[in-house]
Amino acid sequence: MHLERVWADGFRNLSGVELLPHVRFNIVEGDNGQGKTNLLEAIYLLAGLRSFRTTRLAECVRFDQDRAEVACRVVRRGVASDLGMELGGRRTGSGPRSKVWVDGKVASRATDYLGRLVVVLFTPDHLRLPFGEPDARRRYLDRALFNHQAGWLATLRRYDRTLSQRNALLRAVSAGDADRTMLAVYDELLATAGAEISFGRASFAAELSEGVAAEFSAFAAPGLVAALSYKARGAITAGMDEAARKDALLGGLADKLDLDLRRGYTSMGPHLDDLVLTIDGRPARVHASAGQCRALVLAMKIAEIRSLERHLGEPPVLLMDDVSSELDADRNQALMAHLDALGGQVFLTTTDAAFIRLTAPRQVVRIRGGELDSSPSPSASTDSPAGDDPGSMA
Amino acid sequence: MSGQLPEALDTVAALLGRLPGVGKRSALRLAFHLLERPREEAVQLADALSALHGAVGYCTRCGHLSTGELCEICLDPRRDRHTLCVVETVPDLLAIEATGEFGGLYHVLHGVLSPLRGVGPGQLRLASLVDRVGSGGFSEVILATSISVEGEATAAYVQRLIHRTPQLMLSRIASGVPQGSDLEFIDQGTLGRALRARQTL
Ligand SMILES: [Zn+2]
Repeated sequence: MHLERVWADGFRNLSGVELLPHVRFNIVEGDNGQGKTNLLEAIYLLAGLRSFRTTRLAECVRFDQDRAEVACRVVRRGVASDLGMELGGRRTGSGPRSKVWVDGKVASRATDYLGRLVVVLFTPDHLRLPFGEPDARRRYLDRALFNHQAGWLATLRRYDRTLSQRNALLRAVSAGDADRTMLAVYDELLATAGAEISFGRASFAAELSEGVAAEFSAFAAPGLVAALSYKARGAITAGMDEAARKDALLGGLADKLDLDLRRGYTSMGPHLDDLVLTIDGRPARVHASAGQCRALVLAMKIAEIRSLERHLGEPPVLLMDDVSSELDADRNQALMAHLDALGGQVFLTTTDAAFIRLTAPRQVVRIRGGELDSSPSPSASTDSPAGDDPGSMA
Repeated sequence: MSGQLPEALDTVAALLGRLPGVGKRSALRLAFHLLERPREEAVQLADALSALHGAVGYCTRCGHLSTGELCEICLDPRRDRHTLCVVETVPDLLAIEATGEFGGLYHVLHGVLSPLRGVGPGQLRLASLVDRVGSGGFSEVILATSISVEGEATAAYVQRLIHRTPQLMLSRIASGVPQGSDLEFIDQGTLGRALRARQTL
């Protein structure tokens, strides 16, 4: 899968940016604040209709504009399609906030749109996953799962909404405004959605873990074993299927009911679970060095891409936001060697293209003040543009 | 700013601003519009508004719009009196009618359970539903509340309220319907399919 064209206008500071990407590596060079991450964000948005920087898309519309437009042409298994999205800004007021289209036709449902462009994002934030809070690791896992099944977001949303309703009901029951027998209705719905999430995440974590174990040695000292496991609260154990997880969740909700009523908050379920990263069987966040944790994240990203490649039948598009500057020379080299071997299209942002040590075919573009800078780059050579030379890869 | 407006204009703007989806600024714009148009237009609107509640009420049996005690559907002898379709709102009822796939009777709940919005069973037309079903005569009750969390919770709650008997089947519209969208916005083909592919509970 690769992009042949990317267009962004009125999107953050980008104005009238048209990029014709190389089929392999695209190095987007620019100083901070010039718009290079905005370009990755636009591509990410076109893939999943969400940003990785904000939940309020109106923020992505340039402050002096009513609307923003992003579009791309993606080639999937040899078939090209044109995807586009129009976003309403803060000045637009009420009315349709955004719309998306495929091949010139407006898609009224997200499911008609999703799945045509699949991207894997890699940012410096991911390097901090082992040390961060559980919710960052849950988000990471959920985003990776979304790439495998586009309906995953709707499943998460249904769970979150049910959780909010149950929490509101807990408070109403405590205040004497509602009957506690009503809880049975919400417990059933919450446990059904919760079991689906718990089982989906646990199965996916197990699949990723195998890949991580295989990739880890390339980035860390030999002999160490890395693994991922999904840790659910309560009486849920690793081997349980979805039905058993639902029973365990229902049991947990019943056990914790008095506590939940006092707190007005549900203390059991996948909204509190964690993805545990271990090295030699011990939690990485406590026992591993910073370097080992970075190696673990690199192995996770490579495993994620490989698993997605098996699923899609071709490599996804990879977006890397200034990751190289956070890695030492050895790990950088190991990462680039991996990316080179993986195939597929990659967009990397950097402040200086000289940091990116690659031998593979590539194109360097510079971005300044939200516009592509067409003057030749002094720091790197520009290869042939998209599609001209596919024979030189692999 | 609004303090400097004549009181009559200010009052109209404030009342219009209570309507759903009308913000303060558009309420003022609408009020100015009414003032600038010929007097007769404003009078026509005022007359229509004051007649509204007297002329249109709700059917005492099913909750559909009605000009009399019972609505046209409840009075229609051609309707199948053994099948009852439970919907959230009148627009949902109209959407199902528009499919032409359903010939039975309706029960409009006038809302959906939502603890977040403080809506409990007491605010919905549930007691009359239980009475209606309990008095017998129905062979199937179709729960056609939306496929949202709130619609599902309401359907599950109704399922607990209604005592199933060997003569009474409970069913739920199929969930191929997209997430988070109310029945009103589903195209008629989809809604018709959801009704036809309903599942027995
Ligand atoms: Zn009626």
